[in-house]
Amino acid sequence: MRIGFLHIISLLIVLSACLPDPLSVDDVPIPENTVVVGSQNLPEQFLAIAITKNFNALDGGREDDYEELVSSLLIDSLDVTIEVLGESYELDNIELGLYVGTDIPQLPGETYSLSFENPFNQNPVRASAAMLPFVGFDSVGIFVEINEFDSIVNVSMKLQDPPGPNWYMSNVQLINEEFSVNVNPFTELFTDAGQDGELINYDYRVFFRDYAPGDTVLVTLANISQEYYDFLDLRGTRRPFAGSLGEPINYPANIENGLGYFHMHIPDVRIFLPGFDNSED
Amino acid sequence: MSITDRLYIPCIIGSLTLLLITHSASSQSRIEGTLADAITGQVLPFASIQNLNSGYVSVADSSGIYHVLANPKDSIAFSFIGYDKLHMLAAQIPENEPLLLRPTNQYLQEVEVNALRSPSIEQFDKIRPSMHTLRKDVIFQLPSMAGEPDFIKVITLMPGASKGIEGSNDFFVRGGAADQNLVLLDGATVYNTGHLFGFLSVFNPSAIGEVNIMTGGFPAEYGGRLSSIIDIRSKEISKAQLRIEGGIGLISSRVSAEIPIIKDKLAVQIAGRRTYADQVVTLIGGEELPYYFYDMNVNVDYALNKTTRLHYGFYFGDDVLDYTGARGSNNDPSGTSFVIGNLIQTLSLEKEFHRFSSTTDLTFTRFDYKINNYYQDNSLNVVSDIEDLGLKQKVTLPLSENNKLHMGFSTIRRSVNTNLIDVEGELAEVIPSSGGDVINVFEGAIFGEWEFKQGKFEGILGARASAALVEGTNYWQPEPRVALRYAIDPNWALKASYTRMSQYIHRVSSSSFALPTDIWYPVDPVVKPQTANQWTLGVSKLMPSKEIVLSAEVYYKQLSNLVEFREGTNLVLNPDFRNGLLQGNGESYGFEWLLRKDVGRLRGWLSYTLSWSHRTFDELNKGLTFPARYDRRHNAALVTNYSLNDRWSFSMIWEFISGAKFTPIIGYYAIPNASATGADLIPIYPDRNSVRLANTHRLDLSIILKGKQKPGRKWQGDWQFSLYNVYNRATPIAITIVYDENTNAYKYEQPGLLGLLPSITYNFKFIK
Repeated sequence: MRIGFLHIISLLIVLSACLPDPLSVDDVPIPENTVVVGSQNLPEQFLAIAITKNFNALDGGREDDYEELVSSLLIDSLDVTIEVLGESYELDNIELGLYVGTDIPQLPGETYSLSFENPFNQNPVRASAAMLPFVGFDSVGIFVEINEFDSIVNVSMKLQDPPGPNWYMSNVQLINEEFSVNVNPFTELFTDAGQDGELINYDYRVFFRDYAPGDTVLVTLANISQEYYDFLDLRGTRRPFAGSLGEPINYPANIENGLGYFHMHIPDVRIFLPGFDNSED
Repeated sequence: MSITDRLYIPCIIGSLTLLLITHSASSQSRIEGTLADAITGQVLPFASIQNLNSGYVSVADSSGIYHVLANPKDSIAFSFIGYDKLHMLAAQIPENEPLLLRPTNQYLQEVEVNALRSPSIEQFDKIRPSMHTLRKDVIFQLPSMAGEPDFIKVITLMPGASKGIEGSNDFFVRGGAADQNLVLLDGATVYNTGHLFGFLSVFNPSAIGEVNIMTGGFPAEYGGRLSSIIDIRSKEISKAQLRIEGGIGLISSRVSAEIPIIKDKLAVQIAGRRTYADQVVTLIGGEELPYYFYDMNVNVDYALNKTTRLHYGFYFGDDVLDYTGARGSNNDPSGTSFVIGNLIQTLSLEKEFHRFSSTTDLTFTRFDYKINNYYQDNSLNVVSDIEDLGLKQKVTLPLSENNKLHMGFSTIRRSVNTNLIDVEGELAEVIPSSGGDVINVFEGAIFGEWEFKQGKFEGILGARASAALVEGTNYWQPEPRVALRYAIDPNWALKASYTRMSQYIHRVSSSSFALPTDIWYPVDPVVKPQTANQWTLGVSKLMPSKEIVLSAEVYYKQLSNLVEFREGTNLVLNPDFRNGLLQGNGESYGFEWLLRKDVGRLRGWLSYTLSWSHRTFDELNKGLTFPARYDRRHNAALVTNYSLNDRWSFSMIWEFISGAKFTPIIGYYAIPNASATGADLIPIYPDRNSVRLANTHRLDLSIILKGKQKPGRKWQGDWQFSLYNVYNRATPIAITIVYDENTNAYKYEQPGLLGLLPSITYNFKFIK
């Protein structure tokens, strides 16, 4: 009797495992193609602009094709110019999608304007951003503590805050043998609220980054605009589960007739080969 | 047979309506008793009782308990299919004995709901539109998921109501959100209506008598939600006989015992239910399933005297997920536990005075959930709870044969602990703790209604004034209520209503999915109460020869101060969720159609709803109007039960629902990440809720085989075999992107949760 009962139960459970086939989808809209602008001040090349295009969610390719995907999005042969104080500077298209200006003067407090023609609709693409005063590390140090649960990068820095409200971004990027471009840095955001114009001591810890002995740690600091600060804050790089369980949002852009973010901050970059504090070893 | 003057809550409005066609109410008394088979002693559920002098008609409940208003010299007729009709003078009805009907032959006949007062015909006679009643016997006949009869799931088969995603107990009424439905158990709010993360309802069907669904034309005594009132009433307890009933299913079992303590005066019902899915999984696979749910109902019914009744109700239920284990090379202890549940207590005093009747309800509700995770020195605890302590006083005063007043007040002292997050260890540096805010809200309302009849024209003019006091801020809302009925002839009726509703507590859910752990958040000085104005116009047609009622209604609902989350808000472990709340407006409108037949061998209903629902928020979707998440254009259901003979019956549910709206990721773009060491992929979304999931249609079947019925048999059992989702079609819950190995490309698809799901249940009754 017991065996019979078990057979019935087993049969019913097997039947209940009969999951229905997923249904197809045929009405998801395709995003209109447009240009995407990214910018970065590099200490030695000064200003680099990356111009790419957006892509359909189904064009993503497999994870191991990620770099190939990014390469396929780069747009070249554009006439990209930067204007500051009435002077116009043309950027060099040094490789696919990457435009660099090496002769553009560095003028803190001035507004830089970017312009080029959108190849998808032939309308001008414009963006502008103010160059904020450079704020570098007065001092910075890190140490890595490794316990069974995690490897934690501890960052301790000092910086001299210029007068007026300022917004800061500090990044920690681990570089190891498996470094790949799709591993975003840990981004710490803070302001000078309550410490305006003072020497600011600021410490933070970076969790869940799988640090391994021998890895290089890149730490940056930049004085950024409030708009870019808000954009990064909205991206929520510091929060667990950000993005995957958040409300849908089309992130703000400061590009007219395009997507992305044009900014002119100047980062201070330091590279470390840290020592260890193996607290639980 | 006992004679009391008791009024029980769900029949107050209906009974008083019937008083309109009786003699002076003050000269009548209420007669109550039990109808039973003269040979077997079994109670006769749903028998018909008619006062031949006044025309008053009522139906016995599922326990065979009846009541009728009558003068001592009135002639009362008792009838039941398969039994000889019995006529008696009211004064001759014995007080302390069941009234016995003799079968026309020596065998039990089919149990038949009398056609005169079936729920659909009751609805035809009611002044208010948009009201439906589901009785326990109907629910038990229908196919159900995993063999668990579920009132909430059946509600979504009625016009105007639609389901949420599969596996959720959320439902949506006339374009409103899930939190705009007030679910009451004996007058107390039920915040969490789902077991098993929403797959099953928390209501033990053995403990429930009937469910009254109101989607418009709301009585003034109800308030606090915008879209519907689901008034669930515990089963009337048999005071004459010991009754034990229950069901044994594949994943859970339930049992209910009704025990008369003092015959015809005091009775207790104790009901319980527990899943043993955890035990079944262990038995079959040896694996451990660290989950179970249980619930328990206790009801005490005490008829103090002929005019006074006291009822106490208790409900307690939890879902428990409790996993403990070891992780890491050191086998450090780790664990996860999640407990969510309701605790409800109600105390109701019903008293009939010479000229009026009074009902006093004292209610207590506690809903909470606790999440605990730990590993090494890290722990994460999340606690959220709500406590309501409510008092409601209602008085009904008949002024004349065609005029009566209903009036009263209600108060709720609500304490909401919104989101206590306690994090310790290293985790505390990633997930911020939150002390949680205990917000105390005092809600109050006064209400009154004048019910009248003038020839073919009947109406209810009412008003409710509600208020909430919170953190030094006072809100108050006028809530006029109007319901009108015009009888074109005895078989045609026009109905119309206007209601205004206010809501002082909101459940804030993701725009994509709802979780049992969604936060209930009350009004505060910033978050204002939601309000809704609703207009309904309908026509009803009674086909007496077929005992069918056809109704059609159109409605328009205007909603204000609806609550949504700001775009981009992080919804998990966010101690600052309040800053993500936005308020905006909405509107919904539609057409509903219902054909319902509650008697005969073939019973059931066919419903259809055509509806639209929109939202407009200044800070969502660029300020443009967008469809509501559950803006389902078409919603149709065919629900039937066919009794082949005394033992075999067949039931079917087929439903069709247009797909819900969704906002999937449709694209990406890449920009240099913050340190320019790589690319940051940023998603692109379409306009909010601009993509519709696939339409859903599903067929469920069940066969019921009743045990052989013999005279004198006290044990009755039946087997129910159910098939859920017979043709195994997915009910989409989302749009996902998957990689197709065949085409080496990504594609969208819409997965469902449940396929063909067979179940078997043994239901039983023991009556002594």
